[in-house]
Amino acid sequence: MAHIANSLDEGAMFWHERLGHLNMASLKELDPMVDGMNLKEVSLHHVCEGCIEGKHQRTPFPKDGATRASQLLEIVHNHVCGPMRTTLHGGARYFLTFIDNFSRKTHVYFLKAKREVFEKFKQYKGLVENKIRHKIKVLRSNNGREYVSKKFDAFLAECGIQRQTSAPYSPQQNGVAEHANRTIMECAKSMILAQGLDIEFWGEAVNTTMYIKNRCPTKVLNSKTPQEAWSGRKHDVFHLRVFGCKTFAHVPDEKRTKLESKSMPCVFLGYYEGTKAYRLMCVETKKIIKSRNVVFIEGSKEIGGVLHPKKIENGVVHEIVTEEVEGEEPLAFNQDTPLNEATIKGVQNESMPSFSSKEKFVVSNDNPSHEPSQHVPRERLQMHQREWPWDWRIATKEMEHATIAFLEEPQNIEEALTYENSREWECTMQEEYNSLVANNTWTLVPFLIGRKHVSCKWVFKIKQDANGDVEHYKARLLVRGFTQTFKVDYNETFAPVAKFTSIHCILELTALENMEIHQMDMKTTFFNGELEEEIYM
Amino acid sequence: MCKLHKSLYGLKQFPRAWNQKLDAFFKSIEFMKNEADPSVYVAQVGDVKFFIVVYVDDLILVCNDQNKLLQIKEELSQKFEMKDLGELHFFLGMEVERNYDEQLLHINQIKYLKEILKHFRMEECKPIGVPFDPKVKKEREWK
Repeated sequence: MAHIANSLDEGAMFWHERLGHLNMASLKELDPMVDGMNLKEVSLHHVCEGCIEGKHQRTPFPKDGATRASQLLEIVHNHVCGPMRTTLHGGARYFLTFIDNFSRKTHVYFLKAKREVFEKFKQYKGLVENKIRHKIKVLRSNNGREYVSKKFDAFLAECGIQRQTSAPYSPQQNGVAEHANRTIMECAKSMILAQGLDIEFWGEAVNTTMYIKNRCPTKVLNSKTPQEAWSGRKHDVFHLRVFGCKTFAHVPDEKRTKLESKSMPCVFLGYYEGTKAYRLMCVETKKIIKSRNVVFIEGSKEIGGVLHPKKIENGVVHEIVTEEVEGEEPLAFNQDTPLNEATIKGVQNESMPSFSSKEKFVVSNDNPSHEPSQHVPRERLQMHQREWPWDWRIATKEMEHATIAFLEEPQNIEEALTYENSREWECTMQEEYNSLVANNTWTLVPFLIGRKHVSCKWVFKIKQDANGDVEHYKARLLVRGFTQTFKVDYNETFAPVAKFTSIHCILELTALENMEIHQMDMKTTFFNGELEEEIYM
Repeated sequence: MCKLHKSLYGLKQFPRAWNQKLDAFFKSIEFMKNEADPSVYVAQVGDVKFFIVVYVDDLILVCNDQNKLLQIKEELSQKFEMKDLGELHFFLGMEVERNYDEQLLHINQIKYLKEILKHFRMEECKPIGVPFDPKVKKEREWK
């Protein structure tokens, strides 16, 4: 049964649909090949909604559409890379790159968590703006949560820096940074693998890569390296050596007796920006050494197997400076700065898709966040580093687990849902929520204007067994009791706990009379208490 | 907005609500609240002595009769969702070791100490008897 079309164009449309939304050009081509179509006129630009829904493609990115800065610091790209599987001994799992668009000079910072981005940006800004007599004008990044916070926005606005973010799911728009990350990762990986080093050296490798890449040509700069474009001075590469090769560092007279060896075998790990010295790691003691009296054996590869940071027996490691040279501390391992506990405000309901929309509850997390003191004097920080035996090299087993556990416990619901194991977290949250509902913990009531309510938040814990392996994930909904008001939300809070003297007393009795002593604890304590007051959440 | 019926973790009155509930239960199974310490409950029937120490959601049960102990534990785990941790090994950060032969019971806080050391990143430090090693200064002076 042929369908009789009224107008010419409509006829073509029907054939378009009959032939499974065949494109108009092919339709036109097909017409003379077969009988019974008899198309009169085909418009190539007909819009069919079905076609759009079925065939919509991403808008292409312009090949040469990228803006090019005309002076230093006009555009700064940045990007966070990670989390890495291997945590550095300072706890870092991410690295953050800042790239100046004009010179392509790269700076790398290492982060424990993404929330440190803001802190590092301030450091970077201070560093570069002091060095180069220009100000950062545009900061280009992706849409990551770490960049888009109120504090960060306010800071940028105050400094008059424009923020440019790429459109959602379009990392191509931040191509410079994305590509740089890839280059850095590839370079670092090659250096580690070629020398047979342990993967835990990725931090060193990344840091060295940055140093090298700043001294290598890039496409956009004509006959200049990023370092030259940045500093305006031609630099030499006379001092560059193969990463991870075997070296011998001279032992200063003060540190040895007459008959001791004058040199110690080390592995070469990089350079110091601003100091004419090499960064080495002593094979024997696994200590990081800064030295300029070094003999390199660049062809050697056997060193990789010898070096395994995990094998450190005595973890007390200090950075010993064999030469009295003044220089900046390596970026990578200044991890002692306090974490910036940037809390994310107003978590949206949308971020919890698994809860039915009828039972909405706002999980707010507007902690009166204590700004950690931002201006720790530099001297103090350095002293701190020297005093504490907490360098990136401490690697006893327990410590490792401690770091990992610390890192993987999300601080708030948003983090839980963006972490690697977000599925587990979501599952436990759902479970907890279900059991709360099943126990008739609350009923939903219409919003009462003027009635105070307490807020709540989720907390997350990873329970570990004795070996430090993950036993299970635990999520709990807490009421934030400090938002309650005395006499309104509560009257009495006193609950007795046993005195230690009575515990001791009973233990004594037990021992004396050989009694049985057993222990029990509450699985779900909160189900049991009935409330006397009316409380809303 | 949710109207709460049961107390939730974090509420100011949470510990009290829980304690009252527990208190009511112990009274119903004829335990006496100790006058000197209101979180110690005592019961004595003939030769069988029974003590219960409450520390928020941790309980220590002491009894000289195994059957009675098991019976009370059963009751507790039915009434509340309680987990039986068996013999006492750990309580409030204290480790408990028993020596039945010599009628001894040792408590120590080794685990707690280790955690403190870990917290202050001092697990690898060398122990020293005097807070400031007197030798250090002397050596300098000798030079």
